[in-house]
Amino acid sequence: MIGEEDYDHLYKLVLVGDATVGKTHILSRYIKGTLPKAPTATIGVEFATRTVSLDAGCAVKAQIWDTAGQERYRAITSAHYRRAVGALLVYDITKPATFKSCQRWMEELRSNAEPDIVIMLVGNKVDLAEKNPGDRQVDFDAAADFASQQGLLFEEASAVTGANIKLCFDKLLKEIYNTTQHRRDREDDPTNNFQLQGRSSQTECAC
Amino acid sequence: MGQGAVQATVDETPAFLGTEATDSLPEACGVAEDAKERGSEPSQPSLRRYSVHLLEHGAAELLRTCFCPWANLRDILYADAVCKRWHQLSREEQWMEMSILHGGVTASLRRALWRHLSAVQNIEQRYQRELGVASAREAFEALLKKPLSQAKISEIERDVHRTYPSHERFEGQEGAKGRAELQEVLQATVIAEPNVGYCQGMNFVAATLLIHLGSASDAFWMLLALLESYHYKFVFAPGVPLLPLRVFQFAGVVQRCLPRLWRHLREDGHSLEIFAHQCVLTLFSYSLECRLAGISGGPADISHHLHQCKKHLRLPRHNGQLGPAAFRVLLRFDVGLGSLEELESGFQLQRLEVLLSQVSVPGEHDAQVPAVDEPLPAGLERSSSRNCFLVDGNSLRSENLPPRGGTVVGSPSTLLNQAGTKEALHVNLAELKELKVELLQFDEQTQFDVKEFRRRIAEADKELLGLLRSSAEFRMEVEDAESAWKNKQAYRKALMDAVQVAVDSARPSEPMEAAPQELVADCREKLQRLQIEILEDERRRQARLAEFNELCEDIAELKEVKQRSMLQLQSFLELRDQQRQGRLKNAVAQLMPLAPVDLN
Repeated sequence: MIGEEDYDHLYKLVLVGDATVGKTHILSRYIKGTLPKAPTATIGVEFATRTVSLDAGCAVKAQIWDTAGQERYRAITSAHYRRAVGALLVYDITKPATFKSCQRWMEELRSNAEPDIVIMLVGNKVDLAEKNPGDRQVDFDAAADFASQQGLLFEEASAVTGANIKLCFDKLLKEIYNTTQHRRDREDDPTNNFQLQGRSSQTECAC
Repeated sequence: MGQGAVQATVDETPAFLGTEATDSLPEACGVAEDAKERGSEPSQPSLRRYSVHLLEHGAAELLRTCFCPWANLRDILYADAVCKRWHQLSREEQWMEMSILHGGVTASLRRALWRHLSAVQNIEQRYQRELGVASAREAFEALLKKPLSQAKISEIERDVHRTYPSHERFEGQEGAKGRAELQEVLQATVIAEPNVGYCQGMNFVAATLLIHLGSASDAFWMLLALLESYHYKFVFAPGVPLLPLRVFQFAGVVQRCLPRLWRHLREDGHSLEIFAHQCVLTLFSYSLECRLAGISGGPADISHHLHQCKKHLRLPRHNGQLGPAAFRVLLRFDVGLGSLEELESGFQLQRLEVLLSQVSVPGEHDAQVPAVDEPLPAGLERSSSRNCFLVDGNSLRSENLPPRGGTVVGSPSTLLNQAGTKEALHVNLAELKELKVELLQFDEQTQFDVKEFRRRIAEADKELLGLLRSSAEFRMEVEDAESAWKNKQAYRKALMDAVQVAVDSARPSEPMEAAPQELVADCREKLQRLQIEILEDERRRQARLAEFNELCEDIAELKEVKQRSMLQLQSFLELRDQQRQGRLKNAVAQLMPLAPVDLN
């Protein structure tokens, strides 16, 4: 178990997506392992942290910002994207409109957050489709295609059953680690990239 | 109601204030007729009377102070009666604790007090006239009958289930009625204010009002009063235009009143603004238990709610109760109207600075020119023609003062008014550039003058250094002279001893006296010379000492000159800063001419 304050990197992540796609549920499932007892609409922004260790032997602290989904807040919430290195872009697989909005959310993210922000597309509420296949309104393949076109990571998940929730965050954090690591190496020494890569990951992650 | 009444209550608490029946209004006041004349509700004579009395005697200010949210109405009235001892009272923690434990304004009084303070009656009457019905309830029902699109209804439905889901009023099967009422309140609000529409956050406010006021109709009218009289429609309208200003004010108050909390957040890399959004959007009902949210004396005055952020401030608790330490924290929340207005103009200046940072003028450092399409904060936009910026006037200023109960006269307006539409101010790019050039020149001049000041200070410094160096030389010289003097004294003593010995040992009978005679003479001669030398040295030393003292005076004088120059520089900088601020303030008035706030 890693102590809260024992970490090598701090990553700011944001949770975005239309209202009622289940952003707060996903966060609660990931952080606490349970669903919120009294689910209320998120107003403004809230945040939580969790420290995890990556395969590379590094501990990263994820600072996850949960934002309100309503359209009229966007001018305000987009200010919270600043310095975010990763995002979970959530839609509801039973509501096609929430999937359609993803394009706009993505643009919003790319123009307000770090330029090389890593985005994970998450199709939430698969439990509903498992119970009743007729409820599914967004095809897995269509979403996967969209994700690969746009260069996003993609998973389907369920905050209610907990399926794939941890996986989503782990994949995202790992990808962020890889991209930031690459960038750091490039900045360190553009000519001797290869050699440094091995060394720097060793020296920085002496944990 | 004159001064006499105040005097009469100074020494003794009015009879009803002493009663324990907090939930029933005292009837023994005998002011019903008085109240009727003032056009108040006959059912609340004493309350009306005392509210008017409070307002008339400047106690509205008192209501806005930090004590109010916690104070029982009885306490407020009592406090008003003992106004002169108010400050003293407010420092007595026990008294504060008592009023908070009493649970603030009692249920029946709260409704009346809120109605009075928000002047909701005027709004009700206006709608009644326009809809041609006789009562507020009927007006509410008539509004609900108007059509509303399914999309809007389901947008509200989505959140109704997520508003205080564990509160008895809205929970489970028994909560169905409460949820339906909440839905009605929100739908009626969207119908009445179509340009505002539904905004997340409203649901918590509406639910809190439902809990405290009981009926859906009452909750609806109070919510409407919040939107109209307290400018909340601009907080909730699309794009939430007024939110940044409110949050700025909130953060400014916290920065001043709770600097430690502020610094703590800053050190963690957070800004308070982020957490303040939900406080402002839900009037603190989101972060407080809804029961507590009702404690406040008036529903909407922002300064009230600034005091209520207990949860966010993590006030120290003792056995689950707010302890004296918490009161000390709250007491520091001294929010006056003046500070809110000051923060408002600070916000406007900040917005102007943002716009200025967006234009580039020749002669400016290239590094300062931002990326062309950096996102602008809410309320600011680039025009499509790119020759000006559009500033939403509603995002820049607001009514900081709640309406004075009973004095706001509803003006006739169309039922579906234009609330929430953008008040677009066009800020010309050319004018901004002009201002920026002017400011750059101003700054350049300032820099030039500052350089001149610095040069003078540096000169004084240099001279001072030279003087200090020669004073050090002087000191060494004095030390040298001193040791030379000591040496000479020792030599003199040795000579004198020698002479003494020679004189002592020379017996008159002795034939060989020539040699010692000569020796003695020699010694005497040396002694004499030495004496002269010592005197000479002493004279020289005195002269040098005088010089040295003069030098010291020079040094002190130079130091003073330097000190003075530095003070001058400081006050010069302050003056220039003031001038710059003044120029910017003028520019705000000039470039973003804001119509005065008109609540009617």
